[in-house]
Amino acid sequence: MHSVSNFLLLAACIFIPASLQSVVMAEETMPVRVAILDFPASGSQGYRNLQRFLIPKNGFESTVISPEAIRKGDLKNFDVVIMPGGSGSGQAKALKPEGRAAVRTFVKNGGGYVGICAGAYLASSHYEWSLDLINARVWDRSHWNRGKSNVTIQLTPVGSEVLSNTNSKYNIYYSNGPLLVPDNQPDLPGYEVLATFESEVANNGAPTEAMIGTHAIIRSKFGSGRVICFSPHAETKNGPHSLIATGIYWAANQE
Amino acid sequence: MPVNDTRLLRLCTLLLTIIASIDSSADACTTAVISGKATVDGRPLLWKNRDAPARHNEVALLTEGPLRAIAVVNAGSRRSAWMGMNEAGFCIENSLSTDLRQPGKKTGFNNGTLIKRALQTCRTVADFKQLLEETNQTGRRTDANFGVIDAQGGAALFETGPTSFTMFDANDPAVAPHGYFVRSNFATTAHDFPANPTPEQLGKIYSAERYSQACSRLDLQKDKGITVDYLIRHLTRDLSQETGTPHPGTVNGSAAPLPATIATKNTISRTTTVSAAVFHGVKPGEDPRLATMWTILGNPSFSLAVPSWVDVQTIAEPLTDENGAALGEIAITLRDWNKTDDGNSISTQCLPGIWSDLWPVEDKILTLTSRFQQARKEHGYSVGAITRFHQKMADLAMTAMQQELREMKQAAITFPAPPPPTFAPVKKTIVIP
Repeated sequence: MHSVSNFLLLAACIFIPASLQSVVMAEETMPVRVAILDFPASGSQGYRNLQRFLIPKNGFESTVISPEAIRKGDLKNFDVVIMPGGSGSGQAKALKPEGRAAVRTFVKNGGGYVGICAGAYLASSHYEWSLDLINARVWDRSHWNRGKSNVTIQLTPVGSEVLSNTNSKYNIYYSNGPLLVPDNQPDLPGYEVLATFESEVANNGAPTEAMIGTHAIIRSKFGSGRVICFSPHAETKNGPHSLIATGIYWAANQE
Repeated sequence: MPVNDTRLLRLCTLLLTIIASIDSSADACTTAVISGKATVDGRPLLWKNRDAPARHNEVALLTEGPLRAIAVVNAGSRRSAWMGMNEAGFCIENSLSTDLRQPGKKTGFNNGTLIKRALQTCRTVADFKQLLEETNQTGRRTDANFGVIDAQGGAALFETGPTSFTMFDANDPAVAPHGYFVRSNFATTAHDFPANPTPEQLGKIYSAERYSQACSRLDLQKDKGITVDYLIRHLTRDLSQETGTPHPGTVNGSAAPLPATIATKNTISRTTTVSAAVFHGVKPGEDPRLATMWTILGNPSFSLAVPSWVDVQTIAEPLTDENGAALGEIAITLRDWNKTDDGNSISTQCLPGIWSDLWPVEDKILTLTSRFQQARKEHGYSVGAITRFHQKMADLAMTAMQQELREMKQAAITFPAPPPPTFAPVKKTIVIP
């Protein structure tokens, strides 16, 4: 795991002579190893958008991973797994129970989980097929198909600290993502809100005022791993890519 | 080969049984036809709780037929109507009754298209009877109990199959001693039941619980006389146990705390209830355009009633939208948030708050409408004034529902959850231009 290398780096800084530290410092430049789920029926273009900026120059090395590979245990080769847009139930179905268990084990043992839109539905504790990685329900799930449009999100103070030290508001693409609110599953910790929706999409019968104020980006832990969920799509052409890249980097580090 | 044929026949029978049972549970309804003899003001009443898979409903004006009509339809569709009334004061609803089905391929009207045709062409109960007689010859795809009232004092129930029907006159004391009929999802004619079967006679037949609960609620009121208000508040929202006893804390229950959850699979206000309507007819000689359609969009336990009239120039915005009327969509959101994970029960924690917020608004709408109707009778009002009043009542309801949505959302956002974990300080943020 990436955090293991960080631990080694810290140990090296303390115990290794200064002349050798430059070698170990190179460890920090090791890219974060990112697995992005995709499969033929996913209907998602999310991995393509992500691979455009999850590149070594930005500190990442990304690989598309199939549900079969996850079931076979291939996540052990990565620091973080991204479940991108598409369909949460579709991803769960493609992963099958073994794949879902493999993702949970990976995160529990210190791997990072980044859920984007469908991947956030998948991470929640709301559905039969959910991974139960984060203590979150989906508000107004009857109107999940509320539409696609740019919206404004407002970072909370914690969100600014974690994701951005420049802006606190972002214009971001939204596409039927979950409106996240707290759940109270006793075996999961709560979550921290990093951003809320400041504007909304209310098409296809979705009531107005249902979306504003609900949680757009949240983070928590599952076992030793970090979990971060983005309801909107920061990975699309217009970004903000810094937001999602920072989130992925954060998730890749163990607690 | 005979053996294979027999197996095939058994398989087909099994499949048909499965399909029929799926249909009957998903597309059900609880209804009543009430003669003016049983009401406080002498005007007939008609009621339906619509149980259907089509969750998104709206109110629509049907203006392309000989008679102008107003109806509850599936959002975005005008091919069928599921309850409505027309300018002649003729009102109609139905409850599915699959036991009226006959084998073989059918053509002609189905339940929803027959209702629409009746609204466009029938002025009276007798007209509807004639429509059925005519279409008996050509055949239909109907399998329902149709309840109808008219402006001449007519009130009747028609158990209607594809090529035949049986009429029950709610004004005939011989078959309707109390002046009303209740129907859920069975036809008495399909089982040789009397016109008003007892729970014991029904046994375990599908929908017997809802039928018995509705009968019980009406029986309690029959000596005082049945009113629109009673149907809206006490019938559409009934939440009773399987024994027929209303759950404590509900509208018909004892004044005691609600149970934590209420199973709504077989209650009148149930898992699949998507809308309700109560039709307030007119007395013979009164202007038939005074007939009122009270519509509750969404599950009645999470919504409130709004009056409509055939004379309105346009349907008020909260009641109409091709994706689902806004008022009903909020009710869907509220119910969704309060249902249990299996979807077959509701958690009751928020119900007292919802009811204490919504019902006073509904009481106000009922009172204002009663005054408005009285003034219409005395002075007559223009269609513009009727439209404005309709809009005002819909806005009152919508404001209350919108507030309920805000409060429920806020409760969801601030829901007490376990504390979040502590995190190590953030090492760096990544800037990608």
